[in-house]
Amino acid sequence: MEEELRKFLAAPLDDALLSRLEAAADGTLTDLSPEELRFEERLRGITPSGLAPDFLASLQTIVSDVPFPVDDKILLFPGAGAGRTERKKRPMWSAAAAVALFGAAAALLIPIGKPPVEVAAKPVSSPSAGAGVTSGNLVPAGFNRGVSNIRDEGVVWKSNSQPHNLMRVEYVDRITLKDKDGREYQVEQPRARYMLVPAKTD
Amino acid sequence: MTAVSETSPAASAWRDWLETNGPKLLLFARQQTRSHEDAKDILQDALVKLVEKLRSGEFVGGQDSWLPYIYTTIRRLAIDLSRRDDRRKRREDNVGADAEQFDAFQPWFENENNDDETRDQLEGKLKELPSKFSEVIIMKIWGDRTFAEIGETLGISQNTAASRYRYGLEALKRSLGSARRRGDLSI
Repeated sequence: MEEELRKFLAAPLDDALLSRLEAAADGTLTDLSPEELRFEERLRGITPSGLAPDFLASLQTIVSDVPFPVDDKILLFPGAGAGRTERKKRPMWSAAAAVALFGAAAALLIPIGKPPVEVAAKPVSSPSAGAGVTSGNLVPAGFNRGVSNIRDEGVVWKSNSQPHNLMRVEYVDRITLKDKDGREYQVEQPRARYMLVPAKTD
Repeated sequence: MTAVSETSPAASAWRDWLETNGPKLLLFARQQTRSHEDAKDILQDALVKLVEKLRSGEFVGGQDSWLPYIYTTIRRLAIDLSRRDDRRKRREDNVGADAEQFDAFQPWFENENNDDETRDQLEGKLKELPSKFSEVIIMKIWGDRTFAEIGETLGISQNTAASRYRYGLEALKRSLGSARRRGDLSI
């Protein structure tokens, strides 16, 4: 039986497969012929349909808060536009929160039963403050935030072995308050934040 | 959100990137899925996955690694969706009719020269090709991927990718041949 089966020979390789194997062996399989390149160019002349505006907008939403690396050294942060938009919203609630904090601090500082004192402790600079104030009669009149210093604290490595620059951003919140007589008080609140910025290593 | 996108440099850069690469990625997604809507969903999901990796710092490589990652993710998501669709199709008999009608108005290719015939013929012939050929052709010609990158996306060697490309290109050329001889095609 085995002898009988041996009489059937495996089909020979066709020319196309033979040339393909040869090309694979000598590393030229990925080289295209001039004719193939010409046809490829003609096909490339027909371009894929563009994205519909609403679909493009939905994709943009996904990436709206993601930094965009221009190259190894430059990273565009979405903060320029987004930050401006947020800052427009921030003063109202930020000032309100600051007033609440200020009120709480003032309540602690002002002894009960004694005449009101000027609230001009260390964090408060009040050029026009003369009479005493209490937390109840102050209203927010302005809010300003300014970055005072940005410092590179060095490189840190996260658990995924990606290096990040540790940036310390120092800024000061200035809150202007007015009492019922129109006198202005300014509260300065220094703050610091640390940010991790992905770093590239060569 | 729109206002932010218009003003932020990062948003502008992202928009440029999406306008440049979105069409080629969507074309690949359409080749991998059964409908235009599925393709959009998958492209969107792939972008979300990229963004999540970028945010968490898990993404390895720079911007030039984004496209290979998205191509690979689109293909993986399309396979998952296809499996789910197969199960659903067994429960529903009339799947696809509405989608096909809708897709007729969503051509794969642009129509810059009012050459509908060429565009439609090419789309039709690509759909007729075995998927393993057409996916390589789409990635190579309209995605500007190298055989090595295509091989990585598909989990095959670059020689296999090149062979599939060559077979597919030849088959496409043959199938477009009659239309070209009639003078219906401008390619």
